[in-house]
Amino acid sequence: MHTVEDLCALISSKITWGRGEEPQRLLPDTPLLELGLLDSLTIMQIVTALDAEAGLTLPDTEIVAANFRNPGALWAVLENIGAGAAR
Amino acid sequence: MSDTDDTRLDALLTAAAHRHPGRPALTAEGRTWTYAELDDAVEVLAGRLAAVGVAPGDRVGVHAPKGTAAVLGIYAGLRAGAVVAPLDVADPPVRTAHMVRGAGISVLLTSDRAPAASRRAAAEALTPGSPAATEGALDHGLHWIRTLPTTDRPAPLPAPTDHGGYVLFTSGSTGRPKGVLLSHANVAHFALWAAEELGLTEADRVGSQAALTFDLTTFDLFSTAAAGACAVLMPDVLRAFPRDVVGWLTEQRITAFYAVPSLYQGMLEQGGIEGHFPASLRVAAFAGEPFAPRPLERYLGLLGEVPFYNLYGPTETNVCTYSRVPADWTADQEITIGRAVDGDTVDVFDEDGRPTDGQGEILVAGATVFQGYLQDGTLVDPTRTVVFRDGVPRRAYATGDIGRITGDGRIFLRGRGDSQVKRRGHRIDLLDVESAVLGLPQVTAAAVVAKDGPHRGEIWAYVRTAASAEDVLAGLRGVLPLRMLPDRVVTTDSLPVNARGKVDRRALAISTVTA
Repeated sequence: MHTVEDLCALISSKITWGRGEEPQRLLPDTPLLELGLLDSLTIMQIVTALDAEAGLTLPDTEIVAANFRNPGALWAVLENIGAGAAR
Repeated sequence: MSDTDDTRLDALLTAAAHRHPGRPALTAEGRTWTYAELDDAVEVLAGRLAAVGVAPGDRVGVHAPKGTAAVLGIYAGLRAGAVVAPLDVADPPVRTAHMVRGAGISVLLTSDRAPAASRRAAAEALTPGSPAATEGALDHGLHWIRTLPTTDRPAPLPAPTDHGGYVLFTSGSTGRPKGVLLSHANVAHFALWAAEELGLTEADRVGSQAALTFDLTTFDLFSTAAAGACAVLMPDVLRAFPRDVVGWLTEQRITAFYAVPSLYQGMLEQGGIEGHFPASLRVAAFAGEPFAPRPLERYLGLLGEVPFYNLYGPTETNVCTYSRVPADWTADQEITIGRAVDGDTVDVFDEDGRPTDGQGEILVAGATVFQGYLQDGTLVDPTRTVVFRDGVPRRAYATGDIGRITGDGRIFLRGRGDSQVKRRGHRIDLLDVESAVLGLPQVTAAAVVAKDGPHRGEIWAYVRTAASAEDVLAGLRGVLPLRMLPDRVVTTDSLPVNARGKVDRRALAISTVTA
């Protein structure tokens, strides 16, 4: 997990895309919640994958709509967590 | 006859506007409407609907995200005498189109926030070869889209729904959602009963978190209006975030809240409600699925003097039994769904159709029992006349829920006798999912089961197909709502069969093989 694009790919892999939809098209500013792309199960799968695949543990206090409104918002939170872990 | 036999849902709003014109009726999207404002807007909109050809008894779908426009659309449709069906904009257009055709919906009301989804659903619902749907703008961000020409009205519904009603869709075993047709009186009976039992007053702020397609919101809208209280709509995007829900309950000073156990449990496990209990909350209720015992015991500790109600009933009967969970209840005790609400008769019947003190099927008769299913454009009434314990024959709906009744009328649930399951509060017929799987290209056989063992609570699809599991899931995403997707798709060369040569669902339910 080095860039926001990596995060977009991870989120995209947890979304169940319909036929004909383009999974690669997640951008840092894609409004995930407004588009109805995430339900509570998908959100927990993303949180679990961040922990398992990138070693980034998102505390419960950060699992809020404001941080999941788009990949860029979540990336900003992860950068803080990563910086905290590096210190 | 009961005192709610001629109560209209939109009249609850008007009555509140007379009693409390200046009191808040609705808070949504950053604006608060008084009862006078809301009732006036509804009156004007209803007139506009009549002007574009909506006649009493017509079916009108409200296909708008939860918000002011959707609430106005529902009330205006009711005021115009229509049978109103709230629809979910997140559902695949193909599924919405099934609902439009099945219920004979002739007009969709949509909002500025989702016109594209509504147009797709309308286009999908139109008979191939017919001209594109006509549409037009209304006030308050609402638009109408005609899905059936005025010359093509479906057969009128029988009284009392020839002058309006309410439709809520449930998952059906045929792969088509079933429209549960409720009369004004069916819904109003529940709304007035609940407002009184929960002691709602005009000072209450009722937090509305569920989708408008879910029967829980009949409390949020109509019990609230009956009491002259304020309905506060939670933004849809918060629903998946228990911590946000807890914060919202506090910020909005919610006093009354009705939700599924999954959400309450999320608020306990991830939402931090133990450390930040919403101070204004004075009454709470749950329904939709059983509450896990340990979290329930923890809630009772948190709630203290705040009453916590367990409400039970399929959409077909709205709430038909209730119980206020005793504050000293502990997880080692059995939880009851309680006794019948006033106006309903609920009892347990054995396989021969006689009332039993043993285990049997729960049957419901009375004021909240629906009119029938709207399916393929016609009304199908599955109720039958049954002689109850007191010797009185009544029109009864068999819920399919298995239970037991005690001498003092309290009922204990014991599961189901068919293919219906509850997952995160949503009612899902496994055969509905299965028929969607079977409808996909390249699928030759399939069995959809509720898992037991380590994956208990999950829904898995076993599929004989040349396609990959990912392809199957992507195909399903196009025809089923997210809440109905299988947790896992397992592709297989053959499905196990039992001694009678039928697919062995029991074996699949406990199987741990994943590929």
